[in-house]
Amino acid sequence: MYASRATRSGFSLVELLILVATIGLIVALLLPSVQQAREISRRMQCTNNLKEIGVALHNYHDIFSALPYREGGPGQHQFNGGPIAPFQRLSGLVALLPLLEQGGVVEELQLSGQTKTPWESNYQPWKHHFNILRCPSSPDHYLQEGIGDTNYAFCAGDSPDTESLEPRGIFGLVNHATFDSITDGASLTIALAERAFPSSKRDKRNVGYGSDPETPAECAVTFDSFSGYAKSNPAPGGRWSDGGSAFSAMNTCLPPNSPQCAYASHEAQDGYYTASSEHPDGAMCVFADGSVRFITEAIDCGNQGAQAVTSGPSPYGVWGSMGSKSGSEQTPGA
Amino acid sequence: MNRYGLMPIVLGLACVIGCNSESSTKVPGRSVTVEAGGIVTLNGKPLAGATVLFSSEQLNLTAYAKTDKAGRFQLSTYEPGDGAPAGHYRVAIKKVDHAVTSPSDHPALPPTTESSPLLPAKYADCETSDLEAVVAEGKDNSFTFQLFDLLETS
Repeated sequence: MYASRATRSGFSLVELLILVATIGLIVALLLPSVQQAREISRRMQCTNNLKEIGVALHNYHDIFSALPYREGGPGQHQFNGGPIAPFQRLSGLVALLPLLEQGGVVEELQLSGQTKTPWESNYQPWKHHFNILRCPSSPDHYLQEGIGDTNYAFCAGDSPDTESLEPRGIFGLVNHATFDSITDGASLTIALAERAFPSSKRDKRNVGYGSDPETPAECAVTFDSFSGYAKSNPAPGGRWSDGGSAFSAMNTCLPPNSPQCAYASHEAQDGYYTASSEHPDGAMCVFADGSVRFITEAIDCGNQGAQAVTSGPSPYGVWGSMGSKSGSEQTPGA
Repeated sequence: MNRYGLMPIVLGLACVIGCNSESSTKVPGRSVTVEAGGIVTLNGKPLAGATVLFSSEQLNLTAYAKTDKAGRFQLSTYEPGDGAPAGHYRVAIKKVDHAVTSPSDHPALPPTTESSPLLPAKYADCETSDLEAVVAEGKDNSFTFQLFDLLETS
């Protein structure tokens, strides 16, 4: 017995195999939690970006006694003497630049006189990429046209009426909102939310063209997980300079990470523009008081088959009431 | 002492830890849904690409679906294909063709578009469609909607 033990040297094959299997098991157990930790830190970065945008909004209000509009601009793009509004299409992010510590780009814009349309991809100031406008969880936009990207979109309210002088939410066309006008409460009204970039032509995060849905439910059925949208437009987040709805607006009609649809097959028209992100199960939002919260996809979205309203409580549940600035909804838990 | 005796316990524990993240919990505020679907026909032929809306005033929700090539549909309320909560529904069925009639001559201007309904207008509104459905638990919730368009003679 003693002699036979003495002839052994090292490990047996079975022992080695078990050792390898155990190490494999431990790695397999650890890997998901490592990935989770990495995602948590990316999400924290994203939260911080939104927080800074929220602070910038407050500073802007301190300086000008009003919030910036989502879409407007120097008014130099009137076409054929038509109505002014649709051709003033600069994003509110341009107005926020000095407060996001991007003074250099502001000087560049002032030197060149700001006479270019926001879709001018050869215009040097538009080519800047800002880390503060990018969520680290979101992969790059699959379509790069030269203009910098943004993951953060202004909330137009709980209505597809995004190109409106009097939006249901805080941010609309040309008209400035003030904190006074947010009668639902600044801590209960979304200012900006995340919109992740589409990663391919079939991605839900594109905007669907070719249908003018009357209700969120009708927009939801325009996307087919197998073949995508009948006609997809990769606009979301593609131009930080552009205030057109498909680029820089979101509304709280469909729950986060749902399909989106543009009216009249055009990227600066009304439509359903949905918050989305690469974080699991929801998207981050900054509220008008500067607080940043994570909203899950399972949030109560009311009656998705109801038409949007122009006044009064939102038909789209808690999510809709967070979008409207003066819907006088009863807020659960408040 | 069998030195491998602990292995099954370790493996079992790993399985429990590894799998419990999959478990789904009921979302508060949501009604329990039951699978529901059916088929839509127009003048006896299956109707493809139509939007079916099941709306309930009492539950304050709308379940929706789009019909496939065979005219079949599967309702969604909260998640894709989850069906609808039990209840009495008024049904609207829409099919609209949307076409660009003339393209835009400036990037800031939208093109001219035209929507034309492909079904009689009364089916598009749940108040006038005269289509109803009762979704119930423990029952085959398969509904057939036979639509007729007298103008379509071909």
